[in-house]
Amino acid sequence: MKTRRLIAKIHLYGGLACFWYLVIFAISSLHYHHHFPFMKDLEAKVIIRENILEITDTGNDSALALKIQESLGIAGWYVPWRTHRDSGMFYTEIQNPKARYEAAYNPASGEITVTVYNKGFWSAFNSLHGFAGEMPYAPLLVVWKIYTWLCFAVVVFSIISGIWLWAGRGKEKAVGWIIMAAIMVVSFLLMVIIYYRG
Amino acid sequence: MYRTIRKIHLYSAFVVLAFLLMYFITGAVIIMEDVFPRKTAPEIKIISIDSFDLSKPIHEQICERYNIRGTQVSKEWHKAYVKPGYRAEIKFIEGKKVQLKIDRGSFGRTMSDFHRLRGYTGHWTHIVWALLYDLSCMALLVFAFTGLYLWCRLERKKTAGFLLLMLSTGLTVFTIVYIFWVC
Repeated sequence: MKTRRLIAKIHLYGGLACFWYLVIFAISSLHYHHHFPFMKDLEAKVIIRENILEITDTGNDSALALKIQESLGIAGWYVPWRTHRDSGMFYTEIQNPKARYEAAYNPASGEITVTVYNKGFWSAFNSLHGFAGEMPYAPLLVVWKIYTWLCFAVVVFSIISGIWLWAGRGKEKAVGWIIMAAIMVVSFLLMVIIYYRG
Repeated sequence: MYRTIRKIHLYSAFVVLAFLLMYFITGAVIIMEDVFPRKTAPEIKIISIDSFDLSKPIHEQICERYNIRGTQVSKEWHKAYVKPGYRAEIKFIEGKKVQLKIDRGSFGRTMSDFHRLRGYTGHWTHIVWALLYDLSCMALLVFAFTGLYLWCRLERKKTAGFLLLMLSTGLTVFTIVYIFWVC
């Protein structure tokens, strides 16, 4: 009985702790499938920053893009396929869940122009979908990374413990386990069929 | 009402288990790219079109000869066939030749492709996958909210549960605010 009560408490409280993670995960998953118009990135151009940067251009595009990002203190990742040089100018793009930054840098004069395109609330919301990485210059996002792995463990535990808690008698428990095993086998088989015959 | 919600909570958990567990696993493989690399080296063949019957579509003959399968994602002179862990591209090049590029993905790429498999198009198995995907997402929402209801009905003292719910709310709000503040 004590074991049952303990498992029930972990099931209950673990679920409550993961509530919003599951809601965000479900809604963002639906958006990735159906591309809801109201969740589309806004691309609202709001700020143009002009500045002078004192950085050394070694000729390496990746290194220069990272130095520009560091100098401006922009959190996120630079986009390699949108980084190039043209007519003495250096162009790169830095992206994060909140905005897109287009930078046009003149290595000769040090002048840089940054155009910011804000993506809106829903971009930040959907970026939380399974985010378990690290964002340069945003160290506290490690909190969400830890939360992601915790919720994964809690959901797996909750599903197994839920079947165990729900079934009163041994026969019902066996039925629950068989259903769970059958569902997992069917899902795995679907992946195999898609891989070989899809 | 309580018993009905409890059954709905259980059955939605089964649907969630069936599919979302796979998504958690494929998602974990994507996150751990160092352990499961996605880059692969495709196989490229250059084929003369003289070896085909020019009265019939050449790309169809190529698909039959080289057993190319998958959902067609392009048209005109450059055709691509994709499915999880596999991509074949047929491109007509100069000198009456065809370039066939076949990329059989690594385990990491295959899991990543499964994770991103979407849309009600292509082979019937892809449509079944899309349907299960949507059902699982909705089941997850039902699972979460019925769980909340069951907690409200089960627990007399709701302090601990309320604090954990506030913790979940706080973490989520903090992260979104942090993204807007730092980024």
